[in-house]
Amino acid sequence: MSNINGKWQQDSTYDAIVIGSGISGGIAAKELSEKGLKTLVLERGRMVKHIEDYPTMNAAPWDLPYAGRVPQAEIDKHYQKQSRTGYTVAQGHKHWFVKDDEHPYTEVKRFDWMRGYHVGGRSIMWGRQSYRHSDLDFEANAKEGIGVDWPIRYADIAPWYDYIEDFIGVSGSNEGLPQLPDGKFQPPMEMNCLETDLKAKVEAKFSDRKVTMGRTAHLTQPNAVQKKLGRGNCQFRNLCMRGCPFGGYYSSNAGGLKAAELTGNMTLRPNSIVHSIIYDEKTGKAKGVKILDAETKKEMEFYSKIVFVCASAFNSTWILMNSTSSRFPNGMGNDSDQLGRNVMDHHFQTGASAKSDDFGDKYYSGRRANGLYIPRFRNVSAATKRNDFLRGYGYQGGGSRSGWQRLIAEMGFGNAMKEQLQEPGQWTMGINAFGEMLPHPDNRITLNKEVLDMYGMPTLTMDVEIRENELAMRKDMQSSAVEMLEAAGLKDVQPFDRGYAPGLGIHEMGTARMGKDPKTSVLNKWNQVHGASNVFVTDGACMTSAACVNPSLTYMALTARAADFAVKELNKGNI
Amino acid sequence: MNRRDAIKNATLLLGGVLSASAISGVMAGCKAEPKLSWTPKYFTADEAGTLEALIDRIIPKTDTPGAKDAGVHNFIDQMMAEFYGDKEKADFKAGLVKLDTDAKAANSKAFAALTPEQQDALLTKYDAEAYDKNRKPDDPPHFFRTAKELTVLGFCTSEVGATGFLKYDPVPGAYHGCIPYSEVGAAWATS
Repeated sequence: MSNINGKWQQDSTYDAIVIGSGISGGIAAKELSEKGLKTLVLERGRMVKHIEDYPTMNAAPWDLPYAGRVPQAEIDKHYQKQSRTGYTVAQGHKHWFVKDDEHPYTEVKRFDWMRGYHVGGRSIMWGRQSYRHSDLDFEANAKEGIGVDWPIRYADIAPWYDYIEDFIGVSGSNEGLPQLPDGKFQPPMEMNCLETDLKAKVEAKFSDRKVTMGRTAHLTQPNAVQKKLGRGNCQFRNLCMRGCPFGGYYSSNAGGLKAAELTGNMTLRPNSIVHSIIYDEKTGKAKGVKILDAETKKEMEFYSKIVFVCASAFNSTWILMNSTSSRFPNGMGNDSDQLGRNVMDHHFQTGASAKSDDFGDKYYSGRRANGLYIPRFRNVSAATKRNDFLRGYGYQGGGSRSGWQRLIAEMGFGNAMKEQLQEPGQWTMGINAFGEMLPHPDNRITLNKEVLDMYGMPTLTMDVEIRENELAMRKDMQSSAVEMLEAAGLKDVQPFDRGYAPGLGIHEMGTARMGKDPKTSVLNKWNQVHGASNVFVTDGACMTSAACVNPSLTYMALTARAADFAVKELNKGNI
Repeated sequence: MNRRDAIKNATLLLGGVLSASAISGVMAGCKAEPKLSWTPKYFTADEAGTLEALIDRIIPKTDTPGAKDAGVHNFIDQMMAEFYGDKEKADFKAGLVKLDTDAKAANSKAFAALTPEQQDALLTKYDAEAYDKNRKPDDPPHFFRTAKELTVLGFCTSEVGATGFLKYDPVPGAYHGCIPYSEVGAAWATS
């Protein structure tokens, strides 16, 4: 829009612009608007209002077509990559995932990029597991000479973990482990018979290991702030990915965006695809954002004093790469040539499963969308030091009784099978390791101007692989799982490795790392872009290392911390 | 990553993977011309009659509802009409036709016109073939396995099957991890 008159300029000008409305953008929106900034939130996808726009939230199994399955022809046409997880493309929640034919990317090596383009982003269908990084994580790069040092330590982020846990609500159990710091938790969910038994036996046999209940962003004892937002207790329906009518788990829609809306300071603009951040050569700062309106197909500009980039790791980096100027010919903040490098995820899909002959007269009620967690126990002390790999992994898993599905794989029909169908099967236990992936400069994404998306915008090319350290770790991830399930006295212990391709963890991180030195990093310790101090990148892109724990809690804590800093700096006239 | 599904994947390994196939059904006595009470979208009337008879033997009505009560024939018909690709549809149709052919060869009657005992005798052979340990993973799914999978799937996800046979609670409100099985009394329909 070149024809800017005074009125238009005024309507297009805000104190802050937040790009993205997902798990990080929702917190940025809340923090900035609660601090009194007129805040514009730009979301590339459609509007999703909490509750009213969750079309399948109350659907019973018989309300969904094809017993919840999606026809192969539809998968082939729209979801060839989004279906790679095996669970994302289902009738209950496929509408939260992009169509690959509309949003292509190029794979030098297989990369599974699961995306949700709508208000709330992937915070609607995230895994909700919420763990803190520890100093073991923040110090590892420096100690081992991997990548660059984190510019922060646990003490810098700890109060912000407190703050975020208080806001989003995390249920869990404090364990006093240095490698997995305690938090401000609502009461943990309950273990079932087999899990309680496993915990006792594993902890008795291995003095260095703990089995705890998963720490998850579900309300088990909502506080006043959560209640005020209309959120209530988790109802144990286990239909989370559809969107929760009870606000039982944290999503941006139920939480951050709602809080931002209550301030009256937020303008949420869906269908606003950010093209680039506009850099002002005179001031050496960003002056706004250029978007393409997905509905009108018109380009527009919006202006602000600060910009928070929370578009999800790769899309935030895409925006920086696409934001070129004479100051930043290779992408905003890319003096270091680190933009797009050091892609990380969590590698998993290896572990073990087993059966139990016990507790045949016991069962459970309710559907707990959570399981066990076995925190990292490798390379956490001199005694647990490994020579075959750096870093470590944690297990997520759980016990349950098998259901009617088991009969499909077995011979039999008629009355005899029907009787079995009505009874639960044996108790089974499975644990799946999630391992840390080291940052490597050659694991990178690049801007691809040859392949364009449905809006004619450049796309991304992924060139990422797991390397020696991860491969060595995977062997231990599997054998330790077997060892623990055997120690618990379980039967028919089966190791598994179902293979892993980067991205499958849906924890993509890195590509605009934080660091101490502008020569080797994209962001500083406050998530400010080196060379554009009023631009903050606070989502997964900023991660300097991956740790082995689910990362969303850390994005939210870093976002709140950066927002606090940004507003103070703004008030001081420093940015 | 969604850990719930990771867990499900881990535990599913034990239960086995869904896939497909099968054989069929019944109509008690010697009624020669079973009359359809519904209009199939995909199957001919004869095929639909065979299908009804088949699912009724896979999950018969007892003191609890059976597959027919749950409308599993409608479910499978809809899956064929809208869900499956041409090859799978043709294979399933051929399976139903072969079931009828085999019934006529053995008993000179259409499958749907056989006694339940005769039907079960034929299906027992199909069942043994479908779950033969020597089948290779790459072999196309046996018709009986597909039919059984669809019958079990359709039944257990139907309102009749989930609420009148299994246990279903749309809003449990709480999780109790270790309670006597007798307090529930049947397997949960959803996990």
